[in-house]
Amino acid sequence: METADLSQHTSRRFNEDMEHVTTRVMQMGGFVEQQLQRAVTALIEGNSALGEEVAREDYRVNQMEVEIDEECGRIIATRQPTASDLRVMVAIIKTITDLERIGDEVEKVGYIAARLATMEKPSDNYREIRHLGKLVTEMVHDALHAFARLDADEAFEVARRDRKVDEEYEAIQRQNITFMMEDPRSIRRALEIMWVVRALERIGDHAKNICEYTVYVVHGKDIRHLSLEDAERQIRDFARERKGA
Amino acid sequence: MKEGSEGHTFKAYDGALSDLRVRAQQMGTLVAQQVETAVHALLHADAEAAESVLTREHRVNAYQTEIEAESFRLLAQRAPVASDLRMVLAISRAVTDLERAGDEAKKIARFALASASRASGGPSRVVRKPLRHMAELACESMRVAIDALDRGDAQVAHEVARLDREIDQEFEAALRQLVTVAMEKTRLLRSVFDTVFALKSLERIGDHAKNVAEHVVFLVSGADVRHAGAARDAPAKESQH
Repeated sequence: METADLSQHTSRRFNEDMEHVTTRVMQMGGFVEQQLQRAVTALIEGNSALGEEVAREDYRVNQMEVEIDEECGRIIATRQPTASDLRVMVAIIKTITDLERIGDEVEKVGYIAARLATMEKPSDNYREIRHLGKLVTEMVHDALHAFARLDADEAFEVARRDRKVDEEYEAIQRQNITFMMEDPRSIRRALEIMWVVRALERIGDHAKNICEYTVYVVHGKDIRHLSLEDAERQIRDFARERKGA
Repeated sequence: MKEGSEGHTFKAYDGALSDLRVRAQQMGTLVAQQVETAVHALLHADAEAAESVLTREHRVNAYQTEIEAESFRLLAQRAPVASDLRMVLAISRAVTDLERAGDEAKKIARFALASASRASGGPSRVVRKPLRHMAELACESMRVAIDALDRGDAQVAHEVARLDREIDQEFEAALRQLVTVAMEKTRLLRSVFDTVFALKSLERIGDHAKNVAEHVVFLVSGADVRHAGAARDAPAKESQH
């Protein structure tokens, strides 16, 4: 299983189903990623039309989730996959839930970008948000890459980046409060920015969740409620035991 | 126990399946309790209550891990079809929302703890009123949703959806009010800032309650009502935070 990727499976028909559903998940992921980039661009460039367009397009993400979800249900019911194949199906169902939620967060950013376009830009010209946006966009992209290749090492590496996202989130929020205190007229804008930063931070969480599903498929272990350090240690120990046995 | 699932009805479930449902209900009861305790801690600056929410949080997580592992075993070993499969999938989804609601309760408890330790003792007067109203609504929506899950009652989904709309409106109103407060009294900024996040958590709890109710509808009737009419009303949908 460790060396396989999502398109290699035992039963041929199941294999075909899997290939189809995987392609759709990656399409959905690609679209969500593009939406995210466009939402951040809309904010930074003060492009309200783009912001609104991004927000309006979110229904497509929702549609994709429902369709892929139904397809997964059908595959489980008709192919009755083996345990390890079933684990992949479960991971896909969970992944699209997180992608859908990323879509929701992006939708919010789009609306806020549209509203902020009419206000004066902050003095730092959204430098911090630009950086945070880049961090989480890369996380989403790489989390899906690791998932497609069932690469647990890459998944761990991407999941670890969430800590950096959280740190930046805290820093921006603190700075935001300082700005507001210095210039109460900026409060309305600062509160809007607060939601943007919050949305980006949540997107990092969702990307991390996707990484956890990859680990779950590869190692058969649910690591969601463990710290990353504990999870990695347990999996190393487990692998060593298996080798020893 | 029978091998296939033919002849299974919603009432006559075999052991493993109904056990799964009982576990989900127990988890729901715990989460509803967590929400109520966190809200109490917040409104009454009760540090002890807040602590108890934080200590119980791992039990919510344990339920999730356990129920999902059991769902997986059922899917793998029994290959359920039709209504059985639907039930397992609906429960897995409901459990995800319950865990997230539990997470929000944890955030509220942390906020309660922080504000209880401040000299002022609890949230300042100006933010208390919107907090209380939101808190009551969020608790109620969670209670109704858990009740629906217990009884397999798809009818109350409308009630939960109505509550969720009310919570959203209340949230928007509270936000506007807080912005005004912050602009007038900058010394309250930090407190306002924290309060906004607590309100947000309450609003999220309303969302999760609505989701749980939708999973109950799916479980009972097989209709996926998530994003119902999403394509149609997309352009008209106004911003929510």
